[in-house]
Amino acid sequence: MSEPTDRHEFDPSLLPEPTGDAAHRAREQFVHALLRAQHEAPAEREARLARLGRALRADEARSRPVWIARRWHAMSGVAAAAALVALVILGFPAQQSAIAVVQASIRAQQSAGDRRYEVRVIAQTPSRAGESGDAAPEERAVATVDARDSDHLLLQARTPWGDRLVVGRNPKGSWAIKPDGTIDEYPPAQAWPRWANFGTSTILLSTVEDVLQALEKSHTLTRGKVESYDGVTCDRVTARREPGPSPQPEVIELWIDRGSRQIRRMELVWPSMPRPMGGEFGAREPGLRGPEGQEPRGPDGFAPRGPRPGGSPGGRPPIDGSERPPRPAQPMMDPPLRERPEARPDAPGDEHYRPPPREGMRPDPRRPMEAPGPGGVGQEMRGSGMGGPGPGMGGPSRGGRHRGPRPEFLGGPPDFAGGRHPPPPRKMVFVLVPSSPFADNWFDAATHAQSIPESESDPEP
Amino acid sequence: MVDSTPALRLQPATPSAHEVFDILARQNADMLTTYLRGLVHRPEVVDDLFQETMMVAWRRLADYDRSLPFGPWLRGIAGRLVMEHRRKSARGMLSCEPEVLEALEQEFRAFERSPADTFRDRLDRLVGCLDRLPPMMREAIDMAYGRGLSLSALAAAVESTEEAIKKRVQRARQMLGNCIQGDGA
Repeated sequence: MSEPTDRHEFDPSLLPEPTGDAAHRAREQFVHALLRAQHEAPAEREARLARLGRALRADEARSRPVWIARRWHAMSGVAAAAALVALVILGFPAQQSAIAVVQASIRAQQSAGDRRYEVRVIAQTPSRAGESGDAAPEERAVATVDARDSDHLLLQARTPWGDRLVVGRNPKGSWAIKPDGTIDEYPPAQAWPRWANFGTSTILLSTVEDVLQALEKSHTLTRGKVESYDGVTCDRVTARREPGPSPQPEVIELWIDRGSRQIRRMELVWPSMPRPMGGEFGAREPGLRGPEGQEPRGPDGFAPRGPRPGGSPGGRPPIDGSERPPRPAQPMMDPPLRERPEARPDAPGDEHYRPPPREGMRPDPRRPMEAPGPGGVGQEMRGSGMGGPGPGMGGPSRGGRHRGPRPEFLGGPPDFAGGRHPPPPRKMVFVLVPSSPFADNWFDAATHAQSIPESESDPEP
Repeated sequence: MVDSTPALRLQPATPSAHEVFDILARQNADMLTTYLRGLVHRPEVVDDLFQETMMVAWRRLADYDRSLPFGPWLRGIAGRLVMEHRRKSARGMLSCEPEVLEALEQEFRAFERSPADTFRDRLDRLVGCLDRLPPMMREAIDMAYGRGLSLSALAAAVESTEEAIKKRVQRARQMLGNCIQGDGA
């Protein structure tokens, strides 16, 4: 037997042969390449990268504009030192470094394969007199976000009353499933609704990718010290916007895996917002949320289709939520305020408060959510538990009256300052959780429409 | 996300393109090398094409659509360079007709869907699939790829004919492919 040849010297007579159709040949060549990669020495990889680094530096030096080089040389030593100090003080390198980390993460997210984030919320802390803020805030799982790439996204959320909202994106466009199970489809260029009024709070319907994409435009980024999160070494980036009248989170904290550049954890933090008087659903201005002056609604509780002032055709939300002034929130199927014990002004205003359970009417909001998925059907969401799927179903319980306010998609940015919408949670947390690969049709509306039962539509018996 | 209501910007910031590219290059280096090895046999040509692909990507970074993943874009460049190289010299090349390139791209996309952080992590699945091969096939793959034995040496080692060994390695690759891409082993 001959001595083993050098790793590079794979015998050509063992190479995949050009037989069979293109798919067959590609498959065999693919496996051949994987096997070669498996046996590559780390030093070979490093040498390749080092060589590339040298070539890049040389290329950059060649392409640098001549006037920049001349200016730099013309600058005195003292001036050059002062310029360098100014740069450091101004923090541009730190900002650029943070941006670079985030941009690398955006690219990593786009090719990271199937993954799932769990979305948890921490409610606004009590702020009214007599309410204690000492208790540890409750972290509640409200949604899952599944992603394959930038074209395949799925967000499934559940309100504290068990209503389920699903929004998704695939190459054909964005879509949403309303609580009654019907599908709304948006043209490819149009985003899905960005906000939903859950009754107790207004939730941002977003994905990690979308948050990252928007960060650079609206926030200042700073890079923090490296931290270990869940046993993984992570870069820390903090994004902060200037305080002001914006529904956007004030601070966004990122834990980015140093190796894979995947987001391990993301926290969106809103400033503390005192809940307007009027119960846990926020201010209820006559004519805005009451029956009078209410925009006509369909039985599903959503505005009817068709053009409306300032809106896009079909009653769909605009691409950019800011294109249209915020419409007043409509409670739609809410029973009158006086008949809803949980909405009485004297009822507990804390978001932690839940109305008393009524057998057979509403699922226990603390039951873990069923988070179906390929390989994950029936798997329970981790976390402190969010609204359950209802008895044997993926939606609100049937056969009883819906007691909580119906959720609604907002057609534009929420109005927190004016009290038209309940405040956002104090914090929304996206956590990467283990998941199996999703089925091919996982990002299709039809797959999820089937799993949402017909909604109750009887506000009053 | 975050809706585009008037955003309050501080900012500067042209990001350091060099730093971004450096990270991207590191993240995609294993994938790109593997892609090239699926089309080109000679290691020195693989290295040259690797560098050429990265340099083209660096110079054309402005053309890259940031809403799309970086890996397929890089493979697109690499595929064109491989075709160009093949026109000059077909020596040491595997099949790289356009339809094979297309099918190979599909293989990579399917592979990248598996939940893992890095290309190397995904490669770990290969170990599990190797364990599921019949012992004779696993041995042949190990000798050919792990120990670098030539066909004649391998045939002598297992006391078989060269033709039988070629078939065995070919069959093993097919089974591994089915296993890795989830088509069932």
